[in-house]
Amino acid sequence: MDMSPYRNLFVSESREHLRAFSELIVKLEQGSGSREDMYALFRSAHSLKGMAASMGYGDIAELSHTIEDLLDRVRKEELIFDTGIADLLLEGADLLEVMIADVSTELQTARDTGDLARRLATYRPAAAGGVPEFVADVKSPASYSPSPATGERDSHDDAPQTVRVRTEVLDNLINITGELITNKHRLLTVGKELESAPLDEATVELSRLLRDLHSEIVLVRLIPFAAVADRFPRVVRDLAKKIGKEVVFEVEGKEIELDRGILDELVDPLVHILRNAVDHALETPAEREACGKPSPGKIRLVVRRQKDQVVVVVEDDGRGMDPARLVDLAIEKGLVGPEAGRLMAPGEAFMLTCLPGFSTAREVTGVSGRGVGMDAVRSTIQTLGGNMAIESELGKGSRFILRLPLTIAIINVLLVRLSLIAVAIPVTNVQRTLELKRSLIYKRGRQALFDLDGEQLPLLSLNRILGFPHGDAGELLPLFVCELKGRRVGLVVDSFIGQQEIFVKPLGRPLASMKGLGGGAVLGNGEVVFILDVANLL
Amino acid sequence: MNVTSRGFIVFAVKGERYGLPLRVVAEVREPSRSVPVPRAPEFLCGAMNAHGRLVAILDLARLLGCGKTTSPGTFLVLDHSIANLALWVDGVEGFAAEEGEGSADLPDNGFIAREVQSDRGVLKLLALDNVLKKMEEVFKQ
Repeated sequence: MDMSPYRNLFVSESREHLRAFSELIVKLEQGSGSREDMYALFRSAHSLKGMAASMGYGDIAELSHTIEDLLDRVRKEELIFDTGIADLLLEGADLLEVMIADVSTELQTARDTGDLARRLATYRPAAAGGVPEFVADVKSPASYSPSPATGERDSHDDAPQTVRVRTEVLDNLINITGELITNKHRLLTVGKELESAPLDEATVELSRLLRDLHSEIVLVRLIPFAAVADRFPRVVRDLAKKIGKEVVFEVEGKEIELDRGILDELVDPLVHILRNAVDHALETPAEREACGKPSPGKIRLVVRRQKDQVVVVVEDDGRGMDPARLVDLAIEKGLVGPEAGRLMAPGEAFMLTCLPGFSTAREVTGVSGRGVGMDAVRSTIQTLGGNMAIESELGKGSRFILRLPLTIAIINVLLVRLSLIAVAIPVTNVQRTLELKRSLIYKRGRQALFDLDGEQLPLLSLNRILGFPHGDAGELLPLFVCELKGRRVGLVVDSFIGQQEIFVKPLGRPLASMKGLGGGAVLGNGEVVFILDVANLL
Repeated sequence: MNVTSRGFIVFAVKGERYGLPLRVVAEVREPSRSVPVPRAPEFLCGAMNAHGRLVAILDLARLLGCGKTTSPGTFLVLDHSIANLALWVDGVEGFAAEEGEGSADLPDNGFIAREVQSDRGVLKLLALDNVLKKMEEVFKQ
């Protein structure tokens, strides 16, 4: 029988099992796992074995079987779940991941599983040490029995029916919806010219239906945060172990859903923030004890929904940051002037860590210094249409707060007119719009400034930044306030067109390389506009 | 002429004859409305909406360093699998088939992959990947 049609299904289901597998291992190793977690781990290995056997992937089935055997010994209280077991199981999960990748790419590579299988089969705990241990409470409940490989899921009569859909289909659906929205704006433009009441009515009805369609499509594309969260405990655990720190890591809100496009892009920034937290923010056990803190540090990753945004918070109870020291460092490195530094609020000072070129000496240890700095983290978040803030208290810990939109394909923008073209700015990047009297502008050196809410803000021309000639300048200058490289600035435009929902078209090659451009869109009148990538405008 | 996978579209830039494999060109069209691109170098003369795609327009003569393309000219829109790019050239002459190798003496800017003999004469085949790399290199600055 030709099994190839089932290969993709096998790969995606196996990966789901493996993701859960790694998270459960770390949880059990830290002692925060329950009896149910132990059973879930066992079930994952068992299911993987059954699925692989039925597909004829003998090596995967055999390795899963050996893992299942080791877990069975824990289940029967012959072994306690210690760090040695966790290491072996994680090694097994890594090897299985590679073997499943081989299946996915149809690579006929024979992986050597013999050594690991032998170590799994003959595992004996080391002499008692100070490592945290989990004693599996396995008073074998009568209700537990491993499910057959293909009948894993519980069936409830009242459970909603689900289907698996290829991700390309979801992408196509949002693309078509986006094009429909563009066409709705075309009809609105034509309607205005024709002054036809029946056409207006039909367009209003079309708008309502499109809103509903868009909402449904957005819902379809949402994926729970759990889809990526399962890998973070492993990241924290491995790094903590490597540098001799003790960490209790918690994830909350794994059920919160985000657009899959955002979720994919969020992984690297979160890994970077978490690695920073383990490497820099948390003190060593000895340092913590010396200042009266519990020996293990605590890191929490919390995800919650707030209106039409998703808020992701990474917080630690480590050493915190000293805003004055950050300002001094930034002045020393020439990243801010002494006067601007003195005026900085603590929140602004913490954001200095996101400036390109800013790093404290300890940040280049090779652990967190992987070429993805905090500037790249903030840039990614802004490119996704979100924003980032940092809170910190010296000696008590820090919080990194990421605010993200629910979807990235169809976004709300502020459309502005410049001398030669119109451009779009994601509304999430616009803090405020205003019209400024010329008489309120003053200069310091060559820099034009204005006051807003008691703060001195630099005034820049968006025409000049984008290389366009000056536009018509009247007595009142339309401008919007946004954050550029960690500083609030006012960007002067020729006029405001208004706020609009647009469908983001990727620029592709070669325009995607153009600094400061985040995408493009077509307006209802057929006009092409560029969406500015505010984070990378300068 | 027998148009095969070895066939080329032949176009002119400043009196020189150039070629591109047929499979990389999606459309030949008259120049249409375009918008200026922020921070564009001189060789990038705008962007346009090509059937829902945002396509950058390259003045090939400027990139090759031989002046600027003469209006109105013609747009060669590349296949989307290659790039979202249209080449603005002086005009399209037609199709040609390769009949042999041309001179091995090529300009050192890397924009010409090779010369071939064809039934329309000698063609300089554009090294598209190098053209795109050059554009991206300039855009990133």
